[in-house]
Amino acid sequence: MGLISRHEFLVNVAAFLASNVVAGPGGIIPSAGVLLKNYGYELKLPELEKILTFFGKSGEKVPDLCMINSKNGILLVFECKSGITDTKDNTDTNNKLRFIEQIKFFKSEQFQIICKKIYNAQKIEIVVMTYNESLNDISQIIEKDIVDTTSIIVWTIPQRIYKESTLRREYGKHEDRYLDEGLQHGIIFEPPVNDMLIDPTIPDNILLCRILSRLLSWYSKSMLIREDTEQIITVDKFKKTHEDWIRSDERLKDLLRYLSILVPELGTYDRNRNEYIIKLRPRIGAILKKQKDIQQMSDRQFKEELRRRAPKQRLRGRPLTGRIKLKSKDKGALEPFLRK
Amino acid sequence: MDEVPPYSLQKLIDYLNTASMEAGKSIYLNLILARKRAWDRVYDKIAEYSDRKISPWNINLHKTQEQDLFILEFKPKRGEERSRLFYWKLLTYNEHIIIISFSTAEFWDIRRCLDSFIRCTEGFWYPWIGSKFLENLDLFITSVIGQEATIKVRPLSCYERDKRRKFGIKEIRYPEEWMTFKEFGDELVEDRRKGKFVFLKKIRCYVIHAGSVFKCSISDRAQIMFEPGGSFHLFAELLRPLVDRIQAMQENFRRKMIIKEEKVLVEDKPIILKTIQELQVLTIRPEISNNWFEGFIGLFSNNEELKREGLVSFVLASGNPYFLSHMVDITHGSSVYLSASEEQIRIAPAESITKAETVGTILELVEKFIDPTINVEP
Repeated sequence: MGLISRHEFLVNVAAFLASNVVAGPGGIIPSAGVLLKNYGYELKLPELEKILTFFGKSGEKVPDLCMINSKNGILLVFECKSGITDTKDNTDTNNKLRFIEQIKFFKSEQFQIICKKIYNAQKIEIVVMTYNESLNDISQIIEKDIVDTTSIIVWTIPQRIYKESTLRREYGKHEDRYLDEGLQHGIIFEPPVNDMLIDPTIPDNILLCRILSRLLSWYSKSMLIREDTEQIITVDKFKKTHEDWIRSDERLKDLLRYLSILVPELGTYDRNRNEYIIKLRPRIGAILKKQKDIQQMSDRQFKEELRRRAPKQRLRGRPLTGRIKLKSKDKGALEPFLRK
Repeated sequence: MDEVPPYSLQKLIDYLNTASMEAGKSIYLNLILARKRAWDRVYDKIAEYSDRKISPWNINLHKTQEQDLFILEFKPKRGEERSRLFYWKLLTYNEHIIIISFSTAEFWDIRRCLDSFIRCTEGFWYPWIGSKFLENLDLFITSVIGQEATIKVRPLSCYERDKRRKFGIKEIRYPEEWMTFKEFGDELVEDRRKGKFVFLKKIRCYVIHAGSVFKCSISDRAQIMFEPGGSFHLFAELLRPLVDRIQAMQENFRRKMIIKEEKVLVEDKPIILKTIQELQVLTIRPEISNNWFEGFIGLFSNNEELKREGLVSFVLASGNPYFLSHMVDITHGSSVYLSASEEQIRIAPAESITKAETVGTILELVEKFIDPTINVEP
């Protein structure tokens, strides 16, 4: 697989299964939206940052996806897991502990009450979606480390996507009999046709690249007749065009600001007006190169690069000779930025 | 203006019929798609085009007595040259307009005037009808004018995929003789069986029906040259079905994504839930070529190759066998998601509405480099 992460792929497969997909005249997509059409489970995407405000404790994560069946009131809460790495310590690479914590949080009373209110649900089932190869690890963890295993179900998909890949229920049992029978026999699915920005775990550098490619479509190559209004992109305009944006306005503003710092070849961000202004002639070659570099960065490298380049941007136009000192007003503006 | 303009479509067709049969003039027909928003600003766009220093033309758009018939006049900025006239008949649909452009100007004038204007003006484009449509043009014609019509074809511009060439394709020549569409189709099938991927860019055909005859050439972008001496009245019968077909394809090419928003109150705090109500996907199944998937990945991962077509590819997944790319069309300012598994190619919107030109450009590339038999039946 290429640049889409294994986790993001799982999230998109699940979302694609519960979306209303209309195929064009050239053929059909038989498995598209199968969970919606045949079993009545509808995907509902909440505002990510807002939903976190309901859960007081810091460090808790929102579910990867939620699907609700409004007829029987069952809410499926998804935790997509591309694999388990247990390094026996409490570092970032040890995602076993985080997984256990996450499931425990989904089972907590606080989470259940809030989610039932948001989705108007009667019952919550936790679906752990994973690849076939990770099934044993995940089943063992659930059996061993989680006390209350009721309503925990594990779905698997194959690692390699063939033309008829099958989604199966491998652990636990759904209360919805029809869904349970369907998954027991296997539901055929096809890979997703697009990439919606719905995975809450996408790192900033990847999210930035996705926004970059979307902004580029605003730019028109025709140098002759240009619609001036299309070159200035406000947050509202972006959200209206790309309705799969489920994060907050603030987050989008931050990312547009990062983009203007890391890829100045595409455009600039006006903080006062909250507008992104695309250059008249962006250098596509340079942008593609930057995009490739940013995608390959780790989270830490991305932050360092941002930190390294940010002061230079702020100080552009200052004399290069002598020692550059930040004036107090610059410090005031930069410090909150660097803290983010 | 040099000529007295016909003020209604019927008079225009009579005038063109006379021009073809008696004056021996060629008639150029171009079908143009335009967005309604772009058409509303057509006078501004014309002024902007004319104001360019490099443009040798001053353009005027004249109204006629018929509400949807216009005359586009290209007047040279310098010299005493005569004006070039294009008669535009407008057909309005929900969100866009189909323009049938008629002209008796010379071939190079079409290139210098109309082609230049369409290329440089945002919101106007020549629709894609494809190589497969040209291959089966006889079926389209007989369905309109009757089974008893005699139709023959002579290929004018055919290309074959050739990776060794700079542009990835080479021109091939078929014998310059009239043949039936069946004979021509057999030759194409035979070539493709041997591994030659031939696609048609332009063909020439003649039609005899009930004592009337006409000859014309037609390109895969619906540009038609009607040859002198033919019955334009007979040809005019094909125009409306052709427009209907283009209109239907236009609907198929326009992809959209509708997301429903729902506001709920939880503990007095509002929260918005989004649901995908409709995600339209165009699916195509390549049939003939064996290794099309590898070729597909190669083509749509190579930004150097795509640059010529005004496309930029952001590859998200490649191999597995599954390919997913965010394709940005910088010519038309629109983007799509292009995905493929071993069986299908799929095009889905990357924003709320995807422009038809972008889908057309991608399909043209797929037809040119991957599978010449691709067709999108309306």
